[in-house]
Amino acid sequence: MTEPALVPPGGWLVLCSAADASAVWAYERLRARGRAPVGLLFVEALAGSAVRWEHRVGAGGAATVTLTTAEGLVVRGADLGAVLNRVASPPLAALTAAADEDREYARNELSAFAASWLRALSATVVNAPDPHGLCGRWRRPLEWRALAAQAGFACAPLTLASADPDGVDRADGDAGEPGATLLAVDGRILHPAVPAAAQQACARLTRRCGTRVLGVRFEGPDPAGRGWRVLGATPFPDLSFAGEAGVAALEQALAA
Amino acid sequence: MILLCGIPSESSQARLAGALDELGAAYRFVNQRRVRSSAIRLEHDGARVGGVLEHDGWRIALDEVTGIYLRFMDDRRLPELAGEPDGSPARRASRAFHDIVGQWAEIADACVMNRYGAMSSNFSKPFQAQLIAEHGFAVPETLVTNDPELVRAFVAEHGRAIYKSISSERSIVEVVGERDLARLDAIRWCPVQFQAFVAGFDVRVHTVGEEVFATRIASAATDYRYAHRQTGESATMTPYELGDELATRCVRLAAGLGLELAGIDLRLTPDGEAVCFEVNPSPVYSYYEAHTGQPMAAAIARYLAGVA
Repeated sequence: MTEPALVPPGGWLVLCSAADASAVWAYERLRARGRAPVGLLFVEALAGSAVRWEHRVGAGGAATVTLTTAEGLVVRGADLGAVLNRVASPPLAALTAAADEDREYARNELSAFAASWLRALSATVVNAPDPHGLCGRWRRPLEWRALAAQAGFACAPLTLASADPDGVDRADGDAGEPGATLLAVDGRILHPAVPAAAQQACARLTRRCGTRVLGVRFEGPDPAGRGWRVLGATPFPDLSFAGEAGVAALEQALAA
Repeated sequence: MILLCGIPSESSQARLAGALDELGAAYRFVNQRRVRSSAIRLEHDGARVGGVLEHDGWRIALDEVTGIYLRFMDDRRLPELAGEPDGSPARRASRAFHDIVGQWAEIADACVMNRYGAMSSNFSKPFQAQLIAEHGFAVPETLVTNDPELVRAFVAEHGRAIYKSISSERSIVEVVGERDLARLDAIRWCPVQFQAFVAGFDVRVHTVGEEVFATRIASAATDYRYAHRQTGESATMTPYELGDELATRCVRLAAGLGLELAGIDLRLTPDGEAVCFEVNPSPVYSYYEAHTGQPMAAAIARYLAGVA
């Protein structure tokens, strides 16, 4: 007997945490637009021993993944047209079953496993996973600013000092420097006021970092007033930042 | 100036320092054991990065650094910080120091062996296997699963299989035996990686830029790193001639992963195929050099110093 598929062949899958409201919103909007059938799968549903995992890498590198949820729904990577990947953390409920001394090992194993099966889930995974960021590589503000400067953005200055560990922590958060995060998809910032030079810089930044969906964080609540200076970026932006224009861009990215 | 970041007595660092001495290249240790006398201040002015590193009585402008050998040990375990409670000022300053050096190395206009970002593919072996195959190497047939029936079928299909960690956490590669098959229910909570056993002999290839050092390992053990434990006899190592095509493929693989220095684990099968198990981004080259006399430290020294 064939188990039912979560998504029909060629359909799209939105994979996210149940707490990721903007991804759920994007799923609903993508579904309403009707370009392709869209399924929604919460990462939390992938935890536990009732989920069945089968991830293979062949001798030639061809990788496949098939997972069966506790409800018996099958997700076969080979059948998916595209995946909107919002997995910030692997399903970690299994850690509750681990002995204390095994917990860190199990966490690393689950993270490493997720990086691999996410990469194999579809030919189009947006954002592509990285072992340093399951929904796109996480970078620190310093690296983002270096990349952004190379791409042609103006950047806000940043100082890091070992004598000021609090300052290092602040630089990683949003509290230290007020800013505005704008959604960028495939190198285009989805905001009407962004000047052409910044758009061109964003296209170069996307090519350099290889992350198709970005939240680019600019200095100040009014970035134009501060010269569109970059503070950092994230591969995990709020997908609703740009409204329906953002959904249209995501739709285009998934269809590409 | 070249910085050697780590613990000077560690064999890879010590051999490299000796080679740099012979070359006459200027270098300094950033000795983790002196973490209490270390400080770094880094400034990105919006366009470029600069700053100062102070350590054990000397200081250097970051833009004077042309090479970095980055081999820090886990700073949480430094004996110098033993007795310091979590979150103490000394521990926080140490963490910040190591963190900032790592961040700087990621973007420094210098030869870095290796940047942490480039090392990341090794954090997931099946992820890295997909990349390795894209560079023209065969990889072992792999199954990662939590389904005991799939494991039994995989072992039956391949006749002999091994299991090992998915992540970069060190594990001892073992052949799946009857005892393992009897306890497969234990994998239901956390998928485990199984691979078809590949017959042949092991070759560790170190690439230093475009220089290649291949070492043949003779051992009856499944995991030659633990040969004595698994077989009662230590592995033996000898220099090995790879041939131009395979050597070039190794160089391209390392470059494709962004690694200036790499330890590539190959098994050469009886029919002459090179199957790649993994690429180690922070290899203990000194272990192989000590057994074979292959001059890897000298090659690393030349590469860091920019000497062709």
